[in-house]
Amino acid sequence: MSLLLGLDVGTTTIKAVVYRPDGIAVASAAAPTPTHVPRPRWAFYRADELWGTVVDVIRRALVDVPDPSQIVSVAVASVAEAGVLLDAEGEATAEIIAWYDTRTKPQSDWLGEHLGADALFASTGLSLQPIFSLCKMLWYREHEPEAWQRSVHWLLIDEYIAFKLSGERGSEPSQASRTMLMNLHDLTWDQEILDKVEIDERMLPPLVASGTRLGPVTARASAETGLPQTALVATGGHDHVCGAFAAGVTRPGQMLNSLGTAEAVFLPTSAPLTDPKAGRQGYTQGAHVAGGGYYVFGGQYTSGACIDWVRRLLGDGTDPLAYDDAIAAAGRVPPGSNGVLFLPHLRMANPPYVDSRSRGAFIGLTVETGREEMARAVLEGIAFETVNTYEPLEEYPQVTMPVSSVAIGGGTRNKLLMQIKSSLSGLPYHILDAEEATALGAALLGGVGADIFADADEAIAAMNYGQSVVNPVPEDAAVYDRIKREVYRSVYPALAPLSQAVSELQNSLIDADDV
Amino acid sequence: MKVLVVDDQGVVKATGTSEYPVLNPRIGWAEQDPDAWWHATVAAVQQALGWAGGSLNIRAVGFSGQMHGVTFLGEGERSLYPAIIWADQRSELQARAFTEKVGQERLIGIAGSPVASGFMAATIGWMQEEKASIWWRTRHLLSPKDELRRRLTGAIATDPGDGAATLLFDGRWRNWSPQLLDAAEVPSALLPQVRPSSAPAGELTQEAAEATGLPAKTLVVTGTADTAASLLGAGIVDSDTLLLSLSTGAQVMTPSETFSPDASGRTHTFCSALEPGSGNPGWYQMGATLVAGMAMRWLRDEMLRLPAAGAYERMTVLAERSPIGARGALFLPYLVGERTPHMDAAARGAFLGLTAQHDTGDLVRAVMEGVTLATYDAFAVLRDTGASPARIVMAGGGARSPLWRQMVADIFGLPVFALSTVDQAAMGAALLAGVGAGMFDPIEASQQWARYGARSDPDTRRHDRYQELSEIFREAYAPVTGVSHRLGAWAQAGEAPRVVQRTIRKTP
Repeated sequence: MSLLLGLDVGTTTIKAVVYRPDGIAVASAAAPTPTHVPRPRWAFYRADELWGTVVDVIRRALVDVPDPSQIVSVAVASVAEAGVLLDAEGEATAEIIAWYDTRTKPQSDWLGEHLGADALFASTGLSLQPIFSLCKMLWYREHEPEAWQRSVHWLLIDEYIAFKLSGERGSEPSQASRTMLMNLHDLTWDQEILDKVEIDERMLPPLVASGTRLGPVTARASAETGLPQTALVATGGHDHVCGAFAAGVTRPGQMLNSLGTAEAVFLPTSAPLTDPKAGRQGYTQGAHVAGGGYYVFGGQYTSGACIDWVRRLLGDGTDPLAYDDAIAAAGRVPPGSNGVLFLPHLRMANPPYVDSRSRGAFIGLTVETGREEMARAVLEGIAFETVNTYEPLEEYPQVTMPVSSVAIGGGTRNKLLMQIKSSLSGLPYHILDAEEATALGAALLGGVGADIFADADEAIAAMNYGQSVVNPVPEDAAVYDRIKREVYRSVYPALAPLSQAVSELQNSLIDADDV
Repeated sequence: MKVLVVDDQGVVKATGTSEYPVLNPRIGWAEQDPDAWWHATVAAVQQALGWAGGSLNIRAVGFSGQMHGVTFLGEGERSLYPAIIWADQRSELQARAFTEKVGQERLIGIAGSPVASGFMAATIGWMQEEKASIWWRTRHLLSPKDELRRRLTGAIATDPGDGAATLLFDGRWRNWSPQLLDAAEVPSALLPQVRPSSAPAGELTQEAAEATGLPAKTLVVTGTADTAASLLGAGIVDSDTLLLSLSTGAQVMTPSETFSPDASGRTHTFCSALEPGSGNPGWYQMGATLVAGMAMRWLRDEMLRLPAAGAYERMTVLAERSPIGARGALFLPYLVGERTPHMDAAARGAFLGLTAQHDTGDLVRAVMEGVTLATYDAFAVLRDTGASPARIVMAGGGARSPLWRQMVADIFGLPVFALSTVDQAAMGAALLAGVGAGMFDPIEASQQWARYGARSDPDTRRHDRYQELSEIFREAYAPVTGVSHRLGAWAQAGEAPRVVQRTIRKTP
């Protein structure tokens, strides 16, 4: 039997998972992503440490594979935006600035001034932020000119791992669309931007489709990892896009809702959004790994985090309320939480609002409000916020509103939350039991590159993971629809000025440090 | 029912307590049986006398009574209907009609307060409309303590403190208002004569003496309303002192030498137990917030579900770990609506400014701060009508918490003295009895009798911080209640039944 290896280089964890062609995992290993934090808001990786960790997790995963020669393909999914500068010998010349590091704000500002945020949006589909690869490259050129001079290649992290495995360089649209160097409409490196920033296109790898064969595992990589030299390495993609692919979310009208500490909504589209307003509302977009399409992406910063937080809050000061007790309590209250409403902005607002000073709130409290209402209001608030995040996308002609949702992640084990989400959105929720969806997506792209599957659709059709469906309860849906229209939509606009005032006062209290 | 036997130095020699129920024959109705008052009084007096072992020489009896309620007496001074007390909600329509008939500003200008359901003026309106047969047989309308005194002495009277609480009274002239009686269509003959709170009202009848064990012909003094008696018992007899009482709800009260009501009706101006003149404050201004200790109990019982024993101590320890401003968490305490200053029954509570870093201690501190900021809002209205106190006397359960006392000092920017006198309303009643017997001067005795515990002084920098927070708190009311009103309307629209299957029942 053929086996497929998927690698997932994530923000916190690096994973290697070996799958059967029907998507069932047979072996896996994981290790923390080695990250350096030299000062607040800075973070970097080292190329040799990333590769060393990948080698380690592959070797450990292979321990559970009786015959590693059955592994026919390898592909990598990783965080986007962060990249490695390589010299002519293929050695890294600088540290890898982490994808979320914002030291590159001056470079981002420079781009805004000289190229124009709207012009950049028009070609790349990205709303200018410091995290994109282009800003990082400009930073190296300015702050590490010697390393920059020696460098001849720029590879994103998954491309670098694939390069270490196969000796071949290749990029694909899902990652390239996060560099701010690719024209999102024709999926080619943008010559005009490259010319303006004076970066040689030859630094960038050739652009091919996701799941394109790069070559077999080299002898050297085989010796390091234990992978057979017969295994073929293929281009993978951006981690959450790979996850969406593995969940079968590839077509407009579908939606992926992935639920963890934070939450993401991912809607496939057939064409890029062209209105820069979408970027100003906090949405982001990119190219999909499957079918030559695109996606638009939003999310909430605190989802599962709200549930854990309210459990602590309603605990006795030492022990939090048990998870099952909190959910059981929420289940004893009818939809609408008896008039209590929760705004889940425990860190900041979510799209369509961009407001880092927004704060969470419970409103509608009465003397009869119990922790049952509080617990349910939190679940409903999370669900309202998700709908509130994707519904405004309806105004963009490129977006097809979802008719069903696929849910993945730890939050899907909360059956009450799933029921509330389904009723509140009016969408059937397909809950996938595919916990390593990102690694699976990479493995399937590898399988496409090794001709195990003819294409992405065939790969998805071969999947055998568990799935259950939760449908909306019509009476509950009617209740939620009224609250959404008559109340929820006005909560953030009503509270925003107060949250900002509270936040400013709080900061001044901290600054004062005298009380 | 609370009975205190107090000596001329203000030392409590004996006490007696007993209970009587509030009857709720329908949702929103609140009644009491005057016979139950009587039996409770007899029991509590006997208990106090028995405790002292018969060694007491009782010089005089005084009263402090619940305000606003009314008993309807017919021929032979027989009770025609259960007493309808202050908490009764049946006469909202009549309260509104009375206000419209008189005109809100004119009503407040005469009576000193807006009228609400449960006030005698509104309850009478209901009786006239709904129970005409009882209304036409009514010969006397008495406030609760006046009915009790009638049973002890046979004498019918009232005092300006309770008179003002009926809303048929002219607060400035301290007597029944012909205009308001006219508007309410109440013949003045139904109402008792008004006597000063410390004036003798009669002597104990033989029958009452036999029932209670007190000597016959004991002097009985008129007495006053409970809040007016509380001020006396707490030693607050000048306009330099603010009484902040933090119990289930909170009241801010300060004596006033002039009758100067808040024209928009956000506070009450009532008659004090002292007759005006020679610098005596004949009135007091009162603002009431509905939720104070109630919010702490709610947090304990409904949110944290802590066993009652030791819970407040534990919550205080948690709150002390949180800095001023509770790290940006803000609580609006309108769990059952609000009176001063918003007069909004549909207001609802809220927690705002929440972040993932907030913990239980921040929540407790936010609740304490929110409750205190609400009383500070109520105090701001008193200030608008001329109050400028230099110190605060804090009473009620909240006064026992050093953390809360310091918070009050810092928020109000005034020194706080914890009242150690307990049962200050009953102390005020005893004090009026002694004044009526000619034993002492009310102002001197009030200041001598009251006992204070620890003093908490405000910290200027913390006060400045709280001034900023107080502004945000005040601004929060309008937008948050805007949403709350819509939520409340939604919850009442019946699409969501108010059903909760609780594992733990509420404590009554």
